[in-house]
Amino acid sequence: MLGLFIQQAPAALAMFDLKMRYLSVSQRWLEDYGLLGREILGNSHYEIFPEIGEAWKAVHRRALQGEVVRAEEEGFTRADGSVQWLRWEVRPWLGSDGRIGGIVIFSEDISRYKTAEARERHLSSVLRAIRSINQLISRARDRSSLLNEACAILTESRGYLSAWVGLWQAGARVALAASAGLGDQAVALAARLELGSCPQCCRELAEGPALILHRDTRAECGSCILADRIPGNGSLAGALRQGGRDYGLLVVSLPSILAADPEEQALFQEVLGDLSIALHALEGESVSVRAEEDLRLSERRFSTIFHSSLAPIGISRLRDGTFLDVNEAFVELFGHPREVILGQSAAALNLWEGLDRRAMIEELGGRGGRGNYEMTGLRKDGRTLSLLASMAQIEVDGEECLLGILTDITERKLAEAELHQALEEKESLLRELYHRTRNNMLAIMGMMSLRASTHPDASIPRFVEDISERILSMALVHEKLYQFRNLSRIDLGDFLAELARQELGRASVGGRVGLELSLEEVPVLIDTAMPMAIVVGELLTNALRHAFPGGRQGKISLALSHSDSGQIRLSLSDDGIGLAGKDGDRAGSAYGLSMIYAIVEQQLQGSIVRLQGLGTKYIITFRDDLYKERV
Amino acid sequence: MSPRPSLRVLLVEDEIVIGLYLKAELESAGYRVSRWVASGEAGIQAAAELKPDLILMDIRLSGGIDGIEAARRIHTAAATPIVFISGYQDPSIKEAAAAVGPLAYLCKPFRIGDLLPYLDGLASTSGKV
Repeated sequence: MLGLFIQQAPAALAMFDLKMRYLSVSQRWLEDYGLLGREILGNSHYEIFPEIGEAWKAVHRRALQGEVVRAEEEGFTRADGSVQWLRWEVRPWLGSDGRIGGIVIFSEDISRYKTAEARERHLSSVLRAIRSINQLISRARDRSSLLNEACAILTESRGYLSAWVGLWQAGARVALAASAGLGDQAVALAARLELGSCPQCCRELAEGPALILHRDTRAECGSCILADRIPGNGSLAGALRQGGRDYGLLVVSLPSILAADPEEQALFQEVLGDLSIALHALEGESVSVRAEEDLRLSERRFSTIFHSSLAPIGISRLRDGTFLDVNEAFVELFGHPREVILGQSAAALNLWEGLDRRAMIEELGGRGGRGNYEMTGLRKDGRTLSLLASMAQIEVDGEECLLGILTDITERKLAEAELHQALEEKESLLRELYHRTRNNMLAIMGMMSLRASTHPDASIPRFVEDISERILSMALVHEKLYQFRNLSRIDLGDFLAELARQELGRASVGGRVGLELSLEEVPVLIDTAMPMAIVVGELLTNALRHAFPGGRQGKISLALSHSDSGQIRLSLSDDGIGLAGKDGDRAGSAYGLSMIYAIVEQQLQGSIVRLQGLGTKYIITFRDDLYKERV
Repeated sequence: MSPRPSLRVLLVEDEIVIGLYLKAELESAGYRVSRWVASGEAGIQAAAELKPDLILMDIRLSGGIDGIEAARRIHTAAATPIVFISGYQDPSIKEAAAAVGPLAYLCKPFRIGDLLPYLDGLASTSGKV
């Protein structure tokens, strides 16, 4: 009867004798302990389950001695590593003789309840974690604290065994941004990631899915250093994506059974979504914060520059000219107290003289326009100021304004005026000096001419004429100096061309004698030009006077060149009859030629060579470095 | 050189030596200086009285007005040909002189030969050769 009862009992029951041999067993026992189909009656319980530990055997012994031992729940680790939760009771049974005949073990496999309870507990933890993360998101001000605190919440709430966040870097790399529950492995993971190692979950997520489930990380996660951290654990890895941005991933470690739970996965995705939104918001906020900081910095800089600037600066409202701000230099410049200036317009304060403000604003041409204006300012004490104003149209707190940076150029303008006056005086003096010199030259020519006209010696008029020509040559040097506004140098080539044309025009050779000029531009000091005027004038006069007698036709050639070494070469030639028989050698040359040789060789320290052939040719070489520039 | 008494030349020059020299040179070329004065004011008056065929006008003169102003005033009454003879070579003065519409502007010192073509031209066009 008892045996039948045991067999049909809805619970797992087994009846043992004193030696723990099975006497009777319920169907449920066989099912719960995987003994269906096995012949166990008469066999020792310890033979059937050799893994039964000493703790259980002690319980059995206590029951065999008359004690009832029970447990509401107890985990029993199977040989395969799984844990079976049991509620059990072990009590003795008495034989008809009233003595203990053995024990009855009652057990109920409550693993299912325990799992459901654990799941409930876990989901509750995760929900708490989600709530905590939501609170965290609302107060987090930077990415690092957000992620670190989130990982801590996810693990400390016992929701997950570990959690870490990796953020994508350039080059498809991942950097460990935050972690919790990894212990020493956090450092190793960070190092691996730093070296470019990309865990399998990262690689899989990069291909697009939002969630990756690994039921058994040891089996599925390959070479990841976290793979065999906890045997039998699974993992969930989810992408942190929001607003088209892929920030990184969140990886949590949790028991496999939970990892596979769809509800668990849904909650995990909720965490992912919350963190992604937070990352996105922080990114936008950081841009906005940075912009605000930049603006604040810019304003600080402007304020510093504005108030410490030595240049007077004022900001006035565009529409009515009311001053909104001025710096100390502005106050000092105009002499009005700052509190008097602010709130008043320049017109009301009478700061400007003759300023057409409207025309200036039109010229600026709207916001961003700028320009420089010379203005006349009026100080409070009535003194006028010459000012250079750099104006710009800007916006201040939504109001169109004029920013004016002033430079007091009063002293500069006075100095300029004085300089201008001094220059005008110099010009006037110079003009009168030249005028006087040239007048005197004509007066000398006149005096000589008047005296010569009454002199009995018939050669005197020719002599006076020659001297007059030299005076005219020297006058031409003065004219060139004045023309080129250079009191030190003239272009010798230009001078000689004009001298030659004048001499030829004056000479009575009609159109018989041509002029061939090959004159480089050679600037020389007046100290060189003046003697060369005498030399070339004399040679030209001689050629025109003696080389083409009796209506002879011909040509006078004048060439001037200079070398890089500073040597100047002048050649003057004619194709006339030459000087043979008249001034054939230096000893017998006329006084004019002697003077020419003296000027070239002694004054200019050059050389002069006369070549005789079909005409006469003079080659003169000299330098222009005997004198220093005087002006 | 044969005299050309019919061409009336007014010389306005304040420097005696230069005036004498020009007068002598012109006379040796056959022209006669009809009148020689030393100031702008005298030049204006002489021009009105003499009605010369040519005025040789210095610019810097004694008196209150210079040769350019004197020429301008003379031209308001009659378009008498004027040749400025001056030591000034300043472009601003040359421009001011050019504004009066002169026949020529000769910079001192100059050769008499540079002046004669103007007189010759006037003499030939006026038929007073």
